[in-house]
Amino acid sequence: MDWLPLALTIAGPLFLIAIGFVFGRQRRQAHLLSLAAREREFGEFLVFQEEVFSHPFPSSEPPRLVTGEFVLGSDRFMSFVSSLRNLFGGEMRSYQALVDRARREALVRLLADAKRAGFNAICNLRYSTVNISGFVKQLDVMIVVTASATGYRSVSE
Amino acid sequence: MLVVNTESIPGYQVLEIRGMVQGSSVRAKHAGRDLAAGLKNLIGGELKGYTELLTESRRQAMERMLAQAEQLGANAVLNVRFTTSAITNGAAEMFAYGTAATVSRSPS
Repeated sequence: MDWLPLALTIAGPLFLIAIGFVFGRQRRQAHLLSLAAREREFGEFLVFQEEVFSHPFPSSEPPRLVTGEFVLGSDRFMSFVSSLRNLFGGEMRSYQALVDRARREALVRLLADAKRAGFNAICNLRYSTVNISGFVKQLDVMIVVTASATGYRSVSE
Repeated sequence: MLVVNTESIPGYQVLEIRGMVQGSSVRAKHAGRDLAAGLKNLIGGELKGYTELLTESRRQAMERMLAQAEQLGANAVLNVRFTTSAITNGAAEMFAYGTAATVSRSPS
């Protein structure tokens, strides 16, 4: 039974990667579906990145800062695939999709904050993104996205 | 207190700039939460514990910034920016900064 320890050392990580593949994909697809649904809900919202208020608002309702935060982790399969990609170089599509998804969620949360305040428009949208996974397991990433903007209630003329 | 991330607000005029104000907060989770996040990292998805942590951090950083603005006698903070930085494993700093000013509704 000399081969047993060796087999276990190989099978252990492979098992985790398989779990990451199965559950990671399931969770990702569920998240994308719910994101799409919530983005549709905010379809009427006026979202601008410009620093100016493009639409008039009543002076009785002053604008306010609105924010949205989101922390998203990669799954083990994604980390494994990216570690292979790291060998050859090139675009890391799975991570790119991960960051993209985290930004979308942060924006939806920001819009929810704005909606709670009774606003229907935002301007000067800013994102800040950072990975907080630290320096030990560099490939398991934890993406932190903070979105901030100024919300206001535009009145249609 | 009027807090926005634009340089000016239509319908308001800036009377006086009181200076830059800032607030920051560095937070980490207890080991149990870290462990849970580590397990979550296997299957991916939202790390709720860390999102909550970040929201708390942001609130605290804002509170500190607003306290400074109040001390300077301002009634508004303009051009607010947030930055997040990774300090160490599982800890993030939230930094908020802006310009404290006194504003008044412009006569229309």
